Amino acid sequence: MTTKKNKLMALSLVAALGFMTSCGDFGSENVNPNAANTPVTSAILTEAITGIPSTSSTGALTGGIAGRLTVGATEPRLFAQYWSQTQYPEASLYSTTYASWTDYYATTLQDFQTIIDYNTNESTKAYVAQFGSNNNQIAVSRILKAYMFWVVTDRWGDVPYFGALKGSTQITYDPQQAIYADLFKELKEANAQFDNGAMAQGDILYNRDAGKWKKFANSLRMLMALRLTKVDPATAKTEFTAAYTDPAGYISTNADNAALPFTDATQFRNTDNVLFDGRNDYAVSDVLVNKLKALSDPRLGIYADKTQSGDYIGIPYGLRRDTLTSFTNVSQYSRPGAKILARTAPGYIVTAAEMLLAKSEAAARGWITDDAIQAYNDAIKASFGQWGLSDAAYTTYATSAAVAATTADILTKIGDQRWIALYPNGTEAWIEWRRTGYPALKPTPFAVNPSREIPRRYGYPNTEPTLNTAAYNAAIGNLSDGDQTSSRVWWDK
Amino acid sequence: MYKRLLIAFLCLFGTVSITFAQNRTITGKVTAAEDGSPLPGVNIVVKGTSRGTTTSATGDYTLNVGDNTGTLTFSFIGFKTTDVQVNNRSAINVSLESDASTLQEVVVTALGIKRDAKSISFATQSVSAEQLTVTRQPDPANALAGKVAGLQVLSQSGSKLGAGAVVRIRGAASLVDKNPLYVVDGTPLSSDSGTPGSLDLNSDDIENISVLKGPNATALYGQRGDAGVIVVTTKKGLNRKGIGIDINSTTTFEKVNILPKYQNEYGGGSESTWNTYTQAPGNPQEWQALNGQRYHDYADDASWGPKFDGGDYIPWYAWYPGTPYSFKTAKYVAQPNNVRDYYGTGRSLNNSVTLRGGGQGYSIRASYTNLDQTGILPNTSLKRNYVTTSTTFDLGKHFTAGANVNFTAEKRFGNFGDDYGNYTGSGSFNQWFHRDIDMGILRELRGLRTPTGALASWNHTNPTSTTNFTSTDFNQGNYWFNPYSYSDQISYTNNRTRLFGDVNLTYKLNDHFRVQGWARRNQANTTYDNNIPTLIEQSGGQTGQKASYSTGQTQDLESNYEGLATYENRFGDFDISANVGGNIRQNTLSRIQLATSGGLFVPDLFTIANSLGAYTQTSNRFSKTVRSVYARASVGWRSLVFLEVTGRNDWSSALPVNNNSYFYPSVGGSFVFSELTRSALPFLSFGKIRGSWAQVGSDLNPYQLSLTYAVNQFKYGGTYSLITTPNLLPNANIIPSLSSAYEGGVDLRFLRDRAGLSFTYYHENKINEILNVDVTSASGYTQNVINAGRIERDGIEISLTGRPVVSRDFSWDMTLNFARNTSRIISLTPTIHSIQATSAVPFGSTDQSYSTNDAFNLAYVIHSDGTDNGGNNQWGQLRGVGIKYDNGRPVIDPATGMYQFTTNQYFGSVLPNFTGGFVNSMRYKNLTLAFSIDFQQGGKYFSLSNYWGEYSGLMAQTAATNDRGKNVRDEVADGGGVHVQGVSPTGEAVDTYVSAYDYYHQFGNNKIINNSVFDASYVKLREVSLGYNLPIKANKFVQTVNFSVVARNPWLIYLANRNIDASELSQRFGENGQQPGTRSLGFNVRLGF
Repeated sequence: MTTKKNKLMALSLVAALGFMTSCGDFGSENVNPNAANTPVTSAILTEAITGIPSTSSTGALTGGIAGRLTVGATEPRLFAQYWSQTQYPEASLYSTTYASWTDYYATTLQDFQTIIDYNTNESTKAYVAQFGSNNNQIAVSRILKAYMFWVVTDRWGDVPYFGALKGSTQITYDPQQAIYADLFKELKEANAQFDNGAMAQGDILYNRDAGKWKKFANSLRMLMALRLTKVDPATAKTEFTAAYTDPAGYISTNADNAALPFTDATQFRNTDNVLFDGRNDYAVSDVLVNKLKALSDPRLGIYADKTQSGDYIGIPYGLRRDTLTSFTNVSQYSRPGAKILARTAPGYIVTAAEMLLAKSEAAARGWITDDAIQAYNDAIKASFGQWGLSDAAYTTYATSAAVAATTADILTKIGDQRWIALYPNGTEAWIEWRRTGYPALKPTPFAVNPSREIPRRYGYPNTEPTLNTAAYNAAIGNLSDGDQTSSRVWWDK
Repeated sequence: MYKRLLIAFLCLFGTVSITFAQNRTITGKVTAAEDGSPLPGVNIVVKGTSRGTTTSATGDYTLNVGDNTGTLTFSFIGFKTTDVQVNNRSAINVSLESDASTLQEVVVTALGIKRDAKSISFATQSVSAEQLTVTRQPDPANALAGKVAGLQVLSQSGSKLGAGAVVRIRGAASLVDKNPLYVVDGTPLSSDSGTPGSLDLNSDDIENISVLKGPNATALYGQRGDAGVIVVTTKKGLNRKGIGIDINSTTTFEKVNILPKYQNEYGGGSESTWNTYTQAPGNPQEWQALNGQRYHDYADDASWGPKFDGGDYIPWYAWYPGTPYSFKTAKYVAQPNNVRDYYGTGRSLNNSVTLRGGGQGYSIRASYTNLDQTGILPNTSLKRNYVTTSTTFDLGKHFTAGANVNFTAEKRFGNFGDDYGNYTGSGSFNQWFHRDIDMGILRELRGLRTPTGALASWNHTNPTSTTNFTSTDFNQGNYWFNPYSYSDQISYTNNRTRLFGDVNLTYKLNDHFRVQGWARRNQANTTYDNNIPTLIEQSGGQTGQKASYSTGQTQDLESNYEGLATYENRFGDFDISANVGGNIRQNTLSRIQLATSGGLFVPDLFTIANSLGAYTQTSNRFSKTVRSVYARASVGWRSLVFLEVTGRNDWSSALPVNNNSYFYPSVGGSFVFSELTRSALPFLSFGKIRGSWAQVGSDLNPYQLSLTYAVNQFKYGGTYSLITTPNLLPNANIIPSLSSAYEGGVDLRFLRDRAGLSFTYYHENKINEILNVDVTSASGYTQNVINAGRIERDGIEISLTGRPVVSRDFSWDMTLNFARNTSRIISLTPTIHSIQATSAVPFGSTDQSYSTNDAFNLAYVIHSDGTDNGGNNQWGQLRGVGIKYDNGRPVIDPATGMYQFTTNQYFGSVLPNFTGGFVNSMRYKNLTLAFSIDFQQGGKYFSLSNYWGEYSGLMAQTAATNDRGKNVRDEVADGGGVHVQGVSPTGEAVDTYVSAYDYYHQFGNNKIINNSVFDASYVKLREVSLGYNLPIKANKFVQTVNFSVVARNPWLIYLANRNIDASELSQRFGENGQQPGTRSLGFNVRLGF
């Protein structure tokens, strides 16, 4: 029996040893069958531009460039007093203290960085060149990346920039001044980088038109330059004129507008359509309605819907929940108009009207020699054109006393018209209000934030103090009022 | 009962060596005196010789004896050793008396290895079938509450049919909150499905549950045992004349238990003023009857409305024709019981039949259980069928084959949503509701249609708000449906089948050496079909509910192939036992989900092709393999000293190829000192000290080592494909994590085991735990897979047992369990000092957001090493926006009386300070009374119900009487308002009154959670049963008849916050607006044939 036992023992030992040597070999079992190991960069570009959340079952388009300015950030439209809230007015009362930037960094910016990396890396650039020449893919991505970073820094101020998107998890916040300087450089270099190879595939913004991309980049430079009017007028002028005189041109006609073409598909429809689908959370504000009525502005019929009574009624901005009860039915107030809320309404990023107003302002400031008033009128005409209003309507409007500008009041008039023309782009309207003070918006008397004033930035994401502690603490040391919405960013003096 | 545990257990102490003298052969069977069941593994020795054998699986034996005059000694753990004279007989059947003093001496340890309790070097605790079936809980895990020291049961509300309890052993072992591993007859039932499933066993089929608490006990289970292992042994067949039949029938009735305390002073609406209805041209003619009558705001779903005064008002339903209440006013009075009245009486029928039998060389047990429940929520039901079989066959002399098969089929019907804004009850009543709703009328008017055909709701818009009363706006529910109508209309069906079990083969060379092999399988197939009809879409103004259909199926399969060689023998004073084994585990999962989007094209056609927009789909598959070898050896000397070592090595497919192997050992010993003190300390019937040290390694989910790019199912414009960049930054250098633990303890029994004490201290370190941590998204990612620092836990467990009364007619058994644990975060990463807690990411998911560890972005469960919160590094602390304090006094804006607040404040750990239970069983003649109490002290939780219930004026405190004797809702000038005291930002004292509306809205406006964080302490009488054994003479037909009355959750003796049952929190952070718990009363009949 003993020998039998020993034999068995020996046998199991041999078997065990054999077993163990092959134990660590699992072949390709740990290769994910559900996702690609190498990306198709053109599909990332499309995703970055539209950016639908991968796990969304409702199909709400909240992640795209335009989406991030609208659905992802409804507050700026409240801060700019385009809209009022109808039932849950917390955000109108400035309860928002901080905001997450994950959609910006980890989704869109990371998309552009990935495209740039794959087109730069020696081991992958040949493979991805089939989706457009390396240079053209990089150029497009740099422009859009610069645009997104511009939005980010204008929302929060100093933010992680030079060290961001590299996988490092402790990232210093860079001064906004340095970020602006680099954004100018990036846009300049990107425009120079376009080559004669194939344009980037997946480009649903400009349909592979390099000329339009260059105009878009120049326009962004012009708008960025304007931001510096208070803090660094010299740089502002230099950068503005350089972009303005660039032979590639800028967005001066509606045909060149940077506008995301939303489609009828549920998942790719206009984000404002999603916002109002089965919900009545927002109405056009009385501030907007009253302003447009005062100017007899025909855009009112587009920006807002008539109520059952046949009038345009905005909800007073900044009411509390208990005082909103008299507006409990949609038929009592104006919702945004059908053209704004249509499933296929384009998501405007930069428009000709906006650029012509920028031109007008630059002329008024003496940076360029063009006629400021002419540019102002061109801008109004472009805005009317953008919304399909007739030239006759434009003429009547532009020549009315309340609209026609003089050299003396041109900056005020630009402020009003910019606020009107930017609608419904609340982010840009809010930022320009912070820069210029136009139009003269009053904070709600029911403000719940400590300063009781309209916010001038967003607080940093509430995860930053714990996830990026040292950098966060250093950054808030540079803020005038701490990490609050009342602190001002560098250019907002 | 415990003797059945010993089935298949071999003789540790037998000295067996077969001689070849062929004199006389004796055959026979050894059975238990108590119930006649066969006893396998009984030692039989011819006294004074070395001749002996052990009984087979069916209790049979054959033994050659030297002559006809000897004496046979039958010995077996748990039974009195019995000597029998041979007296020339050739057949000797013996029936062994159980020996109470050594009962519970065998415990089931890792890999199902049954061991003498004396030799165990770590803490384990067993729960017997009797203790498990006190009230025959549908989920056996619920029945563990209070019965094991250090085991915390978070039962799920009885409204949620089929939801299993969350079990936590020894507090928290790791940064990731994991459920323990359930092992049924050796087959692991992973809780990989993420949500706590039920154990899928009828508790009547369970013989015993053994809880292995720490790494010292679970080292042989490896990585999946690091949160503890619950080893379930099912009942097996027995050998008896004929077929044994047990019939068991339980009927229980359930009612809703704890509900929040609501205010009953003010009705619905956003303001306390009345509106007066004035008939206008164009309004419906019938409304003339309401002309001049008053009504409150219907559209706002809050209860800040007018004060109840008993006068006439227009209730919500009076505007609609076609009911007895149309166009009539009602009295405006409080409805204090309206929420309680909403919930119906649940009914649960649990019927089972068990057949048990056996014969020469085989045994079989088969049982069938039917569970049929209807819930307290309208239109909810659960039907479950269990089939459990267990068979063994002797194949010749050396081989035994067996199979254990458990099959469950479940059909669950209803929407059991228990989170924010659910439409089925609590989402409204505790968060957004009108306190003046008459629930009887709401129930009566279920299905009532408005003139536009929509379902009428209590929450419609106001008649002042429109001039067009035929518009859908006025005739829909604004935010809410009538919950009865909603529940009647929707159809949510969930079908689940589960099959688990094993086939096994044992080769027994002799009494010392055997080899066993198992092929195990655990598979769960789930399908669901959820319909929301078009009428619901048409009936909701702002509910966002589209008509929809969604369906999906998940196939989850785990296979284990396991081999184990066992050698046991005695050499002189030494008992040797050794095992060598190996295991291959394969997990695969495939999941397909489809849903319509944007509504349905053809109304009420529930098929995916009918989607109005592009339908959504996901299809994923996952696979992972872990290979393991392990060994253990133990040696005992004179039943006095025992020593054990184990080792296990795993190879995981999910780890980096070059570093996918990890080894972890354990060592332990025990010293039974009572063997030496028997004469010196006669009152000490048993005494043992034990100590052990162990490690357990762990890996991660598959596919987390490299970046992959997911393709979106939707194409822009139908042509442009979309690819997303990953949010999880993988880590190719991940290394296996390791827990190290040591524990020590003492087990004492006194006065012939009338009293017992078991004490354990443990200390555990977990290092390099693999988890996905949040990182700043400025990195381009939201999470990073890391090996995270170090977490420690330590604690004590005390278990006291006593039998204060033992007599022929009356006996009383009691167990008192107590455990205290602290889990601390020592370090995370050099740069990250706090992270958001997560639940274990289920297999087949790399998406950490799978688990909800934050409440509505209000309260988070945070692990902090103490750097950012003043040194508190306790596991799992609630964090959120909190009131700012200055030297312990709240900082208040003196102008408004509003609290100043700061973000990222800590509110304490969610883990309790101590937990325990008190389990009792008394018998007087044929009557038995059993009850169990469990308790918990400390631990914080966040209540979203309270958070919104205050905001919307539902909770009692929003209409309390203040210290000036006025209602807080009265005008401050009139003596009302909430008294607020504190200091101004500049340090001056502030003492003022704030209107209740402003006071309670500031929390919602500014996300301040102070008011909604509560202490989770509770004392609960969880189970009571009173049984009666009918004193019938066992005859050929009926052998036993037992009748009992059972009550579950009859009495919540103590709750720190009586609004929520803290023993039934659905979320780690607390509750999310969950459905209320239930209490039930029922009766049970058991017949044995």
